[in-house]
Amino acid sequence: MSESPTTATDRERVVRALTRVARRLRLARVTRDLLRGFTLSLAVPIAVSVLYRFIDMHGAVVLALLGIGLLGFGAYAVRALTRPGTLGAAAASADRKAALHDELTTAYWFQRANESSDWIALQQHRAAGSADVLDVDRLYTWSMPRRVRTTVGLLCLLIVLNLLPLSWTRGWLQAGPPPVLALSQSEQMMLAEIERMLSEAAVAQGTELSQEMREALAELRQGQLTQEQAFAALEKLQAMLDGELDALLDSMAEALESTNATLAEALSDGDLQRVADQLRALVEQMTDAEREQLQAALREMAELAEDAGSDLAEDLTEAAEQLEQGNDAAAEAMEQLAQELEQLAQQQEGQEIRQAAAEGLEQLQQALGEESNELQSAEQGRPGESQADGMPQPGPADQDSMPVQAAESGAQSSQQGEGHLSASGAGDEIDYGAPTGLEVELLPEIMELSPDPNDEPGQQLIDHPSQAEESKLAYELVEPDLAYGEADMLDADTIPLPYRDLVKRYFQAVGPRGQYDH
Amino acid sequence: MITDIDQQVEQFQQNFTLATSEIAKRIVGYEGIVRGILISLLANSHVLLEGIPGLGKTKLVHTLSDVLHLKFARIQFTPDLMPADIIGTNVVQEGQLGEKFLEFQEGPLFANIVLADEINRATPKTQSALLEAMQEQSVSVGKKTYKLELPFFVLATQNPLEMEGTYPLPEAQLDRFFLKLKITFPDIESLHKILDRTTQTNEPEVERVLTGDQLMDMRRTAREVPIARPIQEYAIRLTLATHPKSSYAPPIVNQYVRYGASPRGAQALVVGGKILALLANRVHVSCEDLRAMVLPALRHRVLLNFEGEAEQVDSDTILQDVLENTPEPTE
Repeated sequence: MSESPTTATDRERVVRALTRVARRLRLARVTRDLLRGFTLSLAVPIAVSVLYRFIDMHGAVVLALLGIGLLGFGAYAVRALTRPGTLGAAAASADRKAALHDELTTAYWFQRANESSDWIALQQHRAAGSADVLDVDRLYTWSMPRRVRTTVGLLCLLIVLNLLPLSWTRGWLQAGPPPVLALSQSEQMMLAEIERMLSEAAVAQGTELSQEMREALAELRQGQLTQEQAFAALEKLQAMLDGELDALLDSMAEALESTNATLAEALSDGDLQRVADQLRALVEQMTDAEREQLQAALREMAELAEDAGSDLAEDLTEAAEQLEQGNDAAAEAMEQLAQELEQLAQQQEGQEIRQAAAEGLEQLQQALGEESNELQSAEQGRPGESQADGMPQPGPADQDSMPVQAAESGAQSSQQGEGHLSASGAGDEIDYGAPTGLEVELLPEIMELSPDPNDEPGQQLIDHPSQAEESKLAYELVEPDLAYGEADMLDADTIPLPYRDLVKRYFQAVGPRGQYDH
Repeated sequence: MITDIDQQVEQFQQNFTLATSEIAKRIVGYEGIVRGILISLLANSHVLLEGIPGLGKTKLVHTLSDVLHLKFARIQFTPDLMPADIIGTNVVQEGQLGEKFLEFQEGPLFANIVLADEINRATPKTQSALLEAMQEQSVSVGKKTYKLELPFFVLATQNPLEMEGTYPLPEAQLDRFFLKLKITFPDIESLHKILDRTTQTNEPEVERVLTGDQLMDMRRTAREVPIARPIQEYAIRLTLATHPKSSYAPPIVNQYVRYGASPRGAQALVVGGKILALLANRVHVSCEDLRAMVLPALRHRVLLNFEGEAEQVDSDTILQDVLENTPEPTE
C-alpha cells in the first residue's frame, strides 16, 4: 500500500514526540550517570583518607591517587556524555510512563521497518494522536536522583575525614605537605641544652656558633621539619661537630709517627699541652737528621692543617722553614708553635663540650627514632587515638616513656664507653663497694622527672609509697653504695641530658653531708 | 479504510460484550472463564476446563451455544467410550428398492460446540480420535473424510481430584488446547446469585446474540491486528523462557521443567494478545496483552520433570517466575 500524506504526517508527529522524550531521557541519563560516576569516584578520596589515617603519605602520593580517581571519573563522564540515546528506547519509556501499552513502540517500529497496511496506518494515526497529547514535562519531571543522598553522605564523610579536626580523623586536604615532626617537651629541653652547650663551646673556643648550626637548631626547635628532614639536620649537626680537631690531630700524628713516636702518641691522645712541652724539649736535643725529618713532618702536617682549614698551618710552615735556619730560629719557631698548641689545648675544653653536645644530638636522634616507631605502632594499634591535625603531638604517655627509651638506648652507648658531661668522665675507675643492704620493703616508687613549680617541694620528688615506711639504715652507712650509684647513674647515657643536673642534685641532697661541698 | 477498520473494531467489541453480558445472565462468577472461552472461540481453537464437578461447566457450555446460536453436543467420556461413538460410523441402510448401502451416521462431534466432559476418563484411543477433529476440523471414517461445520469448538473438562482410573491427556493432545482454564469455587456473593437464579421457578432466558457468520467475521478481524517485532520477540522470549537450559530460562524452569511450551504456545500468546488488544480498543498488541495470556495459554504446555512432579510444583508458579524474569522490550 502506498504511503498517504496523512500517514507521513502521523509518522512525523510520532518522531517529533519521541525526539522530545529522547532528549529528556538523555538529560536524565547523563545526570544519573554523572552522579553515579561522581559517587563512585568519591570512593577514591575516601579510601585515600582512610588509608592516610593509618599510613603516612606525602602530598604527591595523595595528589597522584586523586588524579587517578579524577581521570577515571573523567573517562566515565565522557562515555556517559557521548553515549547516544535511541528513539526506540524513548518510545518504550514513553509507553511505560504514559501507560500507552506499547503504542509508540509499535508505531515507531513499523516506521523503521517501513511496513504499511490499513491496520498499521490506523495504529500510526492513533499513536500520533497519543504523541500529540504526550506531556513530556509532566511525564519526565526533574527530580533529585535518589543516589544524591549517597553522594551527599559520601561527601560529608570526606569532609569529616579531612576537614574536621576530630580525635579520630587525620586530614590530608589540610596536611598537603608531608607531616612535620614536633618535638616533645623533654626533647625540646634536650635541644635547648644542646644549643646551650654548643654556645658555651663556641665561647670557650673564642668563636661564634655558625649560622648554619643556628638555623638547623632553630628549625628543629620550631618543629618546621619532617621526620626525615629532622634526622638529616641532626646528622648534619653531628657531622659539623664530629672530629674537626680530632681528625686533624690524628692525621698529624700519623705524619709524625715515623719521626717522633712520643710526639705522635701525644698528638694522637689529643694532649696538646704535652705536645707543646715535647716540642720545646725536642729542639734542644735533636740532631741534624732528626731536624730534617721533623722539618718534613712539619711540612706534611702543615699541608694537612691547611686542608682542614686550621690556623695551625701557617705556624707549622713557619716552624718548618725556621728549622733550616739554625737552632735559635728553630727554637723560636717551636716556641711559637708550642704556644699555639697551648692555646689550642685551652680550646679543647670547648671541644669536649662540643663532643657532649654531639652525644646529646645522637641521643635526641635515637629518642626521636624510637618515638616515631612507637607512634606508628601505637597508631596502627589504636587508630582512634591519633592526633587531629595530622601531626604527632607529645602526650603525657610520651613524656613518661622518654626516660625509659633513653635508658634503653643509653645502655648500649655506655657499653661503647662514650663520654658525657661529667668532668670525672667514663674512664675513671670506681671502687665498687659491697652491695647496699636496705632493710626496707621495696615499694614501687614514681619519680616525677619534670617537677611542677606549683607543687610543694616534698611532693615533687618522692611519691607517697616511699613515705609508707622509712629506711632503718642511716644514709651514712650506705655511702659507698651511693657514691657508686651516683657515678654509675651520671656515667650512663640512660639519664636524659636535661635531667642529669636533677639527678646530680638528688644525690647531693641524699648523700653524706660535706661530700659535695668542696 | 481507517474508518472501516475502526468500525470493525467497534463491532468486534460490541459483539463480544453482547455475548458475555448475555452469558452472564445465566452464569455467575465466571467472567474470566467466559472471556477465556470466547477468546479461544475467536482464536479458532479449543479450551480445556479444569475444575471439580458441580461448578457449572456443562451449564456454561450450554449457555454459550444458546447465546452464539450454534449447534451444541455433549459427550460424556467414559473408559468404554469408543472413537466411533464420538466420530460416527457407517451403518447399513436399505433403500426403497431394497438395496443395501452404507450410510455415515454423524457422531456428536458434528456440532459447532462440543463439550467433552471428563475427557481424561476415556482411553487414549478415544481421546486421540479428537485430535484430527480439533486440529484439522475434519474426521476420517474409512476412506472418507468429513469436514466439520465451522465454527468448531471443543470444550473439554477434566476433574483434577479424581485421578484414579483416568488416562491423562497425552502432550500432543494437550498442546492442541488453546487455553487451559481453571474453574475455582465461586465466592459467597456469586453463590448467592447462583442460588437465586437456579432455585426459583423461572430460570433466566438467554437470547442468541451472535451467529456463526458473525463469529467468523470476528475471527478474521482478530487476525488482522498488527504486532510489532519487539512485541512479538517478547512473546518468543516468554515461550523460550519455559524451556530448561534456554538462555532466557529462570532457575526454577531449569530445576522443575522437562519440556517447555511449543510454538503453538507462542501462537496462542500472540493470537490471544490480538483479541485482548481489540477488546481494549487497541489496534496493536502490547506486552500487557501477552502477559495476560501467559498463564492460560502456557500452563498446560509446561511439562514438569520428576522433581517438579514429586514436589507438586504448580506450573502457574513457574510461569509467574518466567513473567517476573522476562523483561519487556526497552527499545
